[in-house]
Amino acid sequence: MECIRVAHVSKRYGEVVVLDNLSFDIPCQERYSLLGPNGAGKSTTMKILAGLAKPDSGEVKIMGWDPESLEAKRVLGYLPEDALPYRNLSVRENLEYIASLRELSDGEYMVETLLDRLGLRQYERVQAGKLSRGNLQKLAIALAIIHSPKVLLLDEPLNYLDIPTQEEVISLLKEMNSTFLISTHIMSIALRLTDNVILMSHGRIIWRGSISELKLLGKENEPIESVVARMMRGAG
Amino acid sequence: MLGKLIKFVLLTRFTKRLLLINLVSLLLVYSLGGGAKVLPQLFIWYASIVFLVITLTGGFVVLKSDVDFLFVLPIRRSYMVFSLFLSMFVAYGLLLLYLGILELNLIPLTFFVLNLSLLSVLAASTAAIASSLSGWKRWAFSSSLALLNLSSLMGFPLSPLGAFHGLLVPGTVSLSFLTLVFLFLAYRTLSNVHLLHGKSGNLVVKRPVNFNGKDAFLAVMLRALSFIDIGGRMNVAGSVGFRVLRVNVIQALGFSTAISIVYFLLVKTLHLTSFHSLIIIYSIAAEYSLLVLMSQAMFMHEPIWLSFGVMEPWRFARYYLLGKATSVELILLPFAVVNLLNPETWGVSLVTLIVSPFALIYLASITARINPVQIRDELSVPAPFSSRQYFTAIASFPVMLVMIMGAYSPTLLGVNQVQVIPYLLVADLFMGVPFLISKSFWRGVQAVMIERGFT
Repeated sequence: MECIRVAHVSKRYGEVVVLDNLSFDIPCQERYSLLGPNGAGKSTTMKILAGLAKPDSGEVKIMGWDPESLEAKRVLGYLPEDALPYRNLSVRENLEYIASLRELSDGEYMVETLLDRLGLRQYERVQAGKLSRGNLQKLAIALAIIHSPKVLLLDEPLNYLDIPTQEEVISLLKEMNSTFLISTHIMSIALRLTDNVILMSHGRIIWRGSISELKLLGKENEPIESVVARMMRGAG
Repeated sequence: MLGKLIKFVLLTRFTKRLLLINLVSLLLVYSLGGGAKVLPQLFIWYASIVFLVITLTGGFVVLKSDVDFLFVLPIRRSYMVFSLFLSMFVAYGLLLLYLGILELNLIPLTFFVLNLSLLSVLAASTAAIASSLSGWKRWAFSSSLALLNLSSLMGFPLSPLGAFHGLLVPGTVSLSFLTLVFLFLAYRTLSNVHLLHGKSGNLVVKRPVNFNGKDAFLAVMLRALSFIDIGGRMNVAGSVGFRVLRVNVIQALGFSTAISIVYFLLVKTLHLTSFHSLIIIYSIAAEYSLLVLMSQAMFMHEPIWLSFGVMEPWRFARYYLLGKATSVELILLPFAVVNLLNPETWGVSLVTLIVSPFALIYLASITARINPVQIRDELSVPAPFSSRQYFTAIASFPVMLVMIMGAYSPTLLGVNQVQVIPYLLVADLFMGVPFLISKSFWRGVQAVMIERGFT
C-alpha cells in the first residue's frame, strides 16, 4: 500500500511554475529522500503533502486521505525548514500544548521521553523564543514526532544541530516505524536516513531509485555527490 | 556615497507607491474633514502619546535586511546612522501629519509646516537620545517630555506644542529652541547609537501553564485565558516594533481593575461628567487601540505548521478566536462595570460587554487575511511598510463605527440602553460569526500565509 501518493501535481506562484506535473508514490514504511537544487520545488511539495498548500491541479493522498483532512493530520508528522515553535510558550508548554491539541493518550509520557532524548530537560521552562537555533530545532523535531506519526515529512531536519545531537536525532528517527520523506540538499543526510532517492529539478522528477542504484551510476571512485550534481546539471 | 545610501535607506522603508498612497490619503482626510472644527487638545494628546512611545521604546529603524546585509558593508558608521536618522524623520513626519492635518483649520499654513517639521526632527532626535538611556533615566526622560508636551493644555508658554493651543509665536520659539538643543544632544549620541538589537538571555517562564490531559478545545482556551499576546509596531516605522509580550491574564485583569478604579474616581471626583462626550471618545479609542494591538499580535507568533497542521485551519481558528475573545472580555470587564456605575457612559459599557469580543474576532480575522505578518526574528521588522496595511486599516473602520454608534446612541438618540442591545447583537452577528463558521475563509488565510512565507 502507498502511504504517500502524488499524481500529476502542478503548482504555480504567479508566473513561476514551481511543480510541473509531478507524480510519485511512496510505499508504507519505506524511507525516501527528496533531493534537488534550490528552487527545485522540494519545500512546496512538502507543504502540499502536509496539507498547508493546495496544488493547482493533480491529486495528493496521505494513506488514502486528503492531506487537509483530520484523518491525514492525525497520522502525519511534518517539520518545515527553519521551523519555529510557539515562541511565547516554554519548551515544556510547547510539548504539552501540542500533545493536548493532538489529544494523545500517552501525551505526558511522550513529553517526558522527548525532553530527555533530545537533551531539552534543562530548558523545559525557558521560553522557546529565547532558545538558541540548535535547541529550537530540537524542540521542533520533538513537536513533529510527538504523536509517533505513521508518515513523517522532514524538511532539512538536521539543520543547526551539533554533531552529537545529529547522531541522537538520527538514532531516534531510525527507531521509528514510519514512512519517511526527507527533503534535503545534503547527500550525507539522505545516505544516513533513507534507502531511496527522488531527484527533483525545475518541479519535475529527473530520477528515482535506491541509493545503491544511484551509486552504480557513478564512475569508479566518483563521490555520490558528484553523480547527483552531474544528473542535476543534465536536467537543467 | 552618502546620497546613494540615504536614497537606499529611504526606499527600503517607504516605497514610491506607499508615499503616493500616503499623499492621496492625506488629501482625502483633509478634504473630508477640512471644514471641521477640530479640538486642538486631541492633537496635543496624540502627539504627547507618540513622543511617549518613541522615547520609551527608543531606537533606530532597523530592518532585518539592514542587519544582515547593510551593516556589514564598508560604509562609515556616521553615514549609516545619519541615513537612519533621516528615515525616522520622514516616518515621524508622516505620522504627525496624519494626526495633525486637521489643525490646518486652526493655525496658518506657514506655522503649521514649520511646527510639524520641527516636531519631526524633535521626534527623531528624542528617539536617538532615548536609545542611549536605560532604566529609570529613560522613564524620567519620557515622562518629563510628556509633561512638557501636555503642559501646553494649561497654557504653558515653553511647551513645544504651544503653537497648537493658541500660543502661536511663543510655542514656535520654544519648539525651535528645544529642537536645536535635542538635535545637538542627538548628534553627540549618534556615534553610540546601538544599531543591532541583541537577543536577551534565557527567559524562564515563572508560572508555567499545565496543558496535560486537556482536549484540543480546552488547551486552546487555557492558552488564551492564561496569557495574552500584546504586540504590533511598538514604534513608528516599526523601529523596535513587532515585539509581542506574554502578559499573564490575571495580572492584566488586576491592572485593568486598578486603572478602572482610578478612572472612575477621577471622573467622579473631578466632576468630569460634563465632559462625557470626550470621556466616551477616549474610552472607545483606548478600547479600540487595545483590540487592534491584540488582533495584530494574534497570528504574529503562530506557527501554522503546528496550529494548522494538527487540525483543520477553520477549527483551530474557531477555538483560538473564541479563546482570545473571552480573554479580552475578561480583561475589559472592570471598565464595563465602572462605566455601568455612571449613567453617562452606559453606552461604553454596552460596547465593552457586547461588541468588543466580536470586534476582536473581526479585526484578527481581517488582519490574518489581508496582511498577515509572521515574526521570525524578534525585534527586527520582517518587512517594510506596504499598502496592505492601509487596506487592513480601511477594513477595520466598521468596527470603530459600531463602537462609536453603540457608545453614543443612548445619549444622542435619547433611547433606552436596552433598545440598543438588539442592534449591537446584530452587528456582532455580521462582524464575528461569519469568521467563526466559514471554512473557506480560513483555507484562504492559510494560502495567503504560506505565500507570505509563514512556517
